[in-house]
Amino acid sequence: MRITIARIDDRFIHGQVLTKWVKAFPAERLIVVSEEIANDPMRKILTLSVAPANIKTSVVTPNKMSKVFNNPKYNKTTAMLLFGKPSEVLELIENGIPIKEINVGGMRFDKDKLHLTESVSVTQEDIVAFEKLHTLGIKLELRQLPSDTRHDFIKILHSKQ
Amino acid sequence: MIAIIVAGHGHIAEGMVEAAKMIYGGNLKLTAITFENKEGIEDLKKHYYVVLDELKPGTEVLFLIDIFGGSPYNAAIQLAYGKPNIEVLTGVNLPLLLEALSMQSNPALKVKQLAEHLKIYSQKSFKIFSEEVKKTEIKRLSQTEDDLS
Repeated sequence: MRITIARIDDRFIHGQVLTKWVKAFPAERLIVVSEEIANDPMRKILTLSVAPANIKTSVVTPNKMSKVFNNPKYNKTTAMLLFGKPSEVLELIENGIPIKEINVGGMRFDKDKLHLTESVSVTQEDIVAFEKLHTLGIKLELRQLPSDTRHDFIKILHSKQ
Repeated sequence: MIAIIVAGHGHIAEGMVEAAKMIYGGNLKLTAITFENKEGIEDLKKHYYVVLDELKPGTEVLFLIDIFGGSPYNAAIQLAYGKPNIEVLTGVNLPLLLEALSMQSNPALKVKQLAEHLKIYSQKSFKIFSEEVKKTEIKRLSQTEDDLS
């Protein structure tokens, strides 16, 4: 499987935003990787019901994603991966999936979260995962839309701590 | 780049343009025309001319109007009649405006073609939730190859 882009956005499939990423990084499949949603039949069907019409969409757990990635059947398949949190990207990378760059799009604000930018807030667990990704040499970019300027996510994270 | 003018009764156009910018952002050629209670067709035409006068002659212009036959429409068609570079479309909604914005900078696209595309597209912008869920469930049952293994 060839990953066109890996994006973190906890709104997952979210209207025009996702449509634009799919246009900018064309792929045959859109895969939502989330333990939480894959195990919740209601959220799974609702997520699939808002998927763009022109792309095959699936919702899988990180564990299943790791198996699928190595299935020779998908050798030539291109896919966009959509995550809700960095720890699940880390899980894939630790399973040997070659993700070199992560686009950080949206992580909603909540009390007890560290507010980084208008669109991104992180928990302590997220920070640990991001630091680990950074240590592994994964490039982390903050960008809401493909047409926006790229920002170095780790720099912003370090400046706010 | 095709200039887009959204116009309608009250402040609907302002609200729609604000919403579109919230979702779309970026560099847009987009203006909202407000139509207040006491105003009439002549006022609307004046508002339109303020926008049109700032455009280079011959610029393609698309009016997106709320209601067919209302004053914002009746004023716009007086400016559009006989002008191949101006088109007027009614029944504007937010998905339609976003679609128009995503296409306005395509240099190969003429305003008439954009209007035709939007007319077809507008049908697709109406969705009923329970139908969408049903469609998704049917698709999942009938197209097992969509499921990753």
